[in-house]
Amino acid sequence: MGNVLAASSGVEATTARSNSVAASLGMPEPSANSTEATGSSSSMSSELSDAAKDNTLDNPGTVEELHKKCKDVQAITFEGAKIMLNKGLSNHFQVSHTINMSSTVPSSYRFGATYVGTKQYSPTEAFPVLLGDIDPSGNLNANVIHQFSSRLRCKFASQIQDSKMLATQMSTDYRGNDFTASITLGNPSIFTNSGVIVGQYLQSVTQRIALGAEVAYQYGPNVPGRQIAIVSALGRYSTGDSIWSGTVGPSGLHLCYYQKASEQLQIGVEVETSLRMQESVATIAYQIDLPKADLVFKGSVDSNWHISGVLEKRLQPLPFTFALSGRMNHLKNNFKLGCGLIIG
Amino acid sequence: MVLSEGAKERLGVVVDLVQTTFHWGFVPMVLYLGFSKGAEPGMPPLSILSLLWQ
Repeated sequence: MGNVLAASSGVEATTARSNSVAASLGMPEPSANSTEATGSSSSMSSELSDAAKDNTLDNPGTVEELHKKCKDVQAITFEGAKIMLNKGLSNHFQVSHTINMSSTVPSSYRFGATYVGTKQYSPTEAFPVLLGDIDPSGNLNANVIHQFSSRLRCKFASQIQDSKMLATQMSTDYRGNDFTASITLGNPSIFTNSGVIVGQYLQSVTQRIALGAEVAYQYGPNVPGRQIAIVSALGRYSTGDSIWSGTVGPSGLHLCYYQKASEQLQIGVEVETSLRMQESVATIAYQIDLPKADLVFKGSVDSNWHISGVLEKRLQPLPFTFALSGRMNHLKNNFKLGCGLIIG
Repeated sequence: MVLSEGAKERLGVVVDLVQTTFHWGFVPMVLYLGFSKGAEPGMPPLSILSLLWQ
């Protein structure tokens, strides 16, 4: 999906933001292992549920989240100064003001609004979720997520820039007992007769192994031969604290390894090979959580010699979070420093 | 899908209209939904100014 939906990567980024906003509103993202969380108190019933677990398989989560654990460990850097003000007006409503100042890109202001509905399928999530953020020149990112039943969830994401639809993405996930099927429609247009359709399927094979496939079909006048389809295979092997996940297709190979080393330390390793670009990039990343110091540090180094680190510290008892970000490359001789304050 | 030129033009007008409505209406709609839900019980009522400060 990475290649064909390259244009809508911005939408994915905003979806990621939507998840983080959802989390900040006290609604953790859908967890694949939610059935595990409903543990029982007495040892008798936990034995019974263990026995039941041996026979039943859990939902493997969506294909989109296959590499999520490993990706989450990596540092996401920013440049310049950033001030963000989050205001929760009620349990269902939150607004945010963000000011970005930088020497390379023009300074910008963004206003964001989040509304969370009252329909609940689990105590931690509520739907529909509507997220919008807009800047003074009218560039809009909009996300709508709604769960129609306990198994069916629909997402819509759109990005408008300079009064043009830059990217649109509609996706539907169906979560079965031991599988998840998704279909995504990207940038559809009946005028140029173009678009992308991605179908994804992930099936739990054993308690630890999940296997799946992805078909991406792109059509349009700019596509060589007017249409192209790419099939990839994917899999994940998870044991206790470590997860291996991989995607193999004609366009390349993507392999991730995640390890939770201790309560404080998490490590992620990623290798991404693109046959089209004839290049491979490997990344080693780690995340250190120090809850007593209210501090999270993420660091990573990749095979292009990009070294990045992001430090986030909550300034208790004030409702402030201070973020410091750095990214440097000795070979290209560049350095980017970012400094941010998140209020609320 | 085969569409005649005229149909395409008329459809284009409709699509443009929907897009413009969505573009400028989405954030106000989110704000409207949030305000219509109101403040939490026991909290002071919401006003337009509470978008900026308490």
